[in-house]
Amino acid sequence: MRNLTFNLLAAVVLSSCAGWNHLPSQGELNLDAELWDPSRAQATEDGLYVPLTQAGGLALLPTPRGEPKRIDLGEGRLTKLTASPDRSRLVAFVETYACHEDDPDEAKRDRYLGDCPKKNLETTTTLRVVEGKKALPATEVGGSFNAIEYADDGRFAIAYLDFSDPTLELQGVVNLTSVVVLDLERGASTPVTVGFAADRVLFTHTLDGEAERAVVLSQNEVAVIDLTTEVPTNSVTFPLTLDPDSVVTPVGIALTPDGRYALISVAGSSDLYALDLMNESINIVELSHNPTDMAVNAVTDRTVLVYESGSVVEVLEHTYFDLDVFTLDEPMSRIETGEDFTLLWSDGDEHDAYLLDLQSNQLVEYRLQNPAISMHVAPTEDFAIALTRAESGFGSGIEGVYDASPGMEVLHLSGDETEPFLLEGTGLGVAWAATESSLHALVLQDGAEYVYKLDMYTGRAEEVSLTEPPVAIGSMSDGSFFITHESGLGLVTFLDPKTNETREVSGFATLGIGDPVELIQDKKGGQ
Amino acid sequence: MRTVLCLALFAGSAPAVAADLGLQLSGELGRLHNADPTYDLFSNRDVMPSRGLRVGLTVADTVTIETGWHRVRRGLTEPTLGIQTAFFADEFILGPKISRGFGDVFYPYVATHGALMRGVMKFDDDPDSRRNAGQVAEAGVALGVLAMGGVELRSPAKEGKIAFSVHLEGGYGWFQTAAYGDLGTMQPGGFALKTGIGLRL
Repeated sequence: MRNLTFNLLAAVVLSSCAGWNHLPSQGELNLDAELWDPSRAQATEDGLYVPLTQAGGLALLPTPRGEPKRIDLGEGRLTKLTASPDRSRLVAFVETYACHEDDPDEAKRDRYLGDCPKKNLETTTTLRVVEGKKALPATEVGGSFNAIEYADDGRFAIAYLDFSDPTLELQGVVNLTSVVVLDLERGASTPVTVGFAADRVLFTHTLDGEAERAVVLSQNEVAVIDLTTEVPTNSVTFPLTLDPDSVVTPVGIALTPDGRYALISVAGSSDLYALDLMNESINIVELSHNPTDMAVNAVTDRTVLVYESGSVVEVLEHTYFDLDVFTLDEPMSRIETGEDFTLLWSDGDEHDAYLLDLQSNQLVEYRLQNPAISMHVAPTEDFAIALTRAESGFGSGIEGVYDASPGMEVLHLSGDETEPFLLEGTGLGVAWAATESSLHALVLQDGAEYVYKLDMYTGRAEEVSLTEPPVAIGSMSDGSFFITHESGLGLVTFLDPKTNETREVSGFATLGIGDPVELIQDKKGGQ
Repeated sequence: MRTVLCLALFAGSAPAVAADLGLQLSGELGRLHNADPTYDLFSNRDVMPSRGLRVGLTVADTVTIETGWHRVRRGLTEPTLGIQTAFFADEFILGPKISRGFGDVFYPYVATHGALMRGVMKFDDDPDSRRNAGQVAEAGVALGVLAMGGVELRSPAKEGKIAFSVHLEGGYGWFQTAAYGDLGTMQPGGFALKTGIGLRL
């Protein structure tokens, strides 16, 4: 009898303990999106925040330890997440939904987002500031906004509509001449009318580092918003053309170190507009070509400009706006900045890179084996690493091997040497771990289940194993690094560069997956 | 003694018993409506099929106290990401059934069962691996009630002999919303259907 009882109990227990290898499957699951996006994680002082694409939520992976937790963003779904420059807070764009049904009975049945026909759906965008591991009350912003720029002090930000975003979906009436100024400390939002289709924003700051003005670029004009008044207002607008039939589209903007001048390049033109924000006047500087990148150097108070269409680099001083012209062997399209130098490189097919010393005007040429896809200057500014791609037209011998392979090249910025390396997979990113006596580069490669850790001073290399191929790398405020992986349910590896110890956090992408987005009840059925 | 005989017959290991014990044993198939959007992660239909066992003990002419257990196993596979989802539920019931016989063959009845459901949600991003980092499981418990009405057909049996039965019942099931940790919530409920075959001792 005892055996019979045991058999019966065993049958019940076994049937209720299904193993991971024998999960039932009666069909296919169709998700609207991946559960998370490993390329959109944001590191702050609290830890690593990860947007949950499918659930429309937000997960926090605390550091140095702690279980993943879900941040309550209220009703609605997260559509975009940005971090302030000082990493003290995040701003989350949250869409909330209301359903306007003609049939009251139908309206009563509509509870979740999926219940409402698309034509009856009304979407409202709110901003939630996430600070101290929790979301502050929502700030409603009238209109559609999908991008945000922060002032350096982290207090002010400007939300605007970025038309280059491929996921942009517009609904209802959209005011294309409006941006919203956000006071993140007070939780206030102020719509300000600027020019048509604003798409670039820069901030000027006082000597104390507080945001003073915002310079907003739009088609044909530039608006300056005064942030020191009780209610932010458009204090002055600079027209970029007086001919209403012509279209002047700004593509680049930089502020001089004193914040007095805004330097603006425009599409298809070699004119550089220098807006005097103090005297409210405009100077136009004639450049040699249409610039593709520009960078302001604060130490030397000069601006460096490069041109995809011309093999020169031009340096503009900010007093008389005179140009120094340096001839190059190949055109450059990108600029990385150091304290008193700039590193010029090309994201096209060129193999050259240049270091321009802005104190001495010395130009140092580096020759890369393959074209670069990204350039990373070490925080100590004595090295840079160029990640390169394979190129067509293979040669023979060692040249052919280089041509056929992705690679990386170490540039010695104190000289003109380069050290080429062949990579196993295309370089995904570089992070730097620096102490007073050491400097390590951490290199991620596509498909390679390890971090390549290179001691820049001794040349000694190590491989730190990962369980899955990486996607992106970034630094945490405690000196550790996070590495995201292509994993359906979420996988992040935290790496301590001093000890090479790793900590894996997984499964967080399921947080809130069983909480469908609810419709806002008080607007339901309203007409 | 009745309990001992019940277990023996239940396991199919005891010889046939010929006594009027008032005992009812059934194997069942069932289904319960579940329109909760969370259930869409585990099934393409709003139905939770189940199978289980039911035991009843007649305590008066028309009253039987029933208890039972049903098991739900549903799951889906996401083909692009390779994620497999699974939902397991164990439903335990206890309650009275009131029936009346017509000619010892036809027994219409009504039953009200208190129910307890323990569910487990599972997500696995590498189903071929027994132990991988991407394995997530959360459990939830909910109380509920099932109000059912049905008919039972019994084979005519002489006194002291075993009768065979088949039954079909339908009704409504309601459950509390169960919380599954940080994954979310689920509330099954709605039309319920059960059918089964059994022995009447």
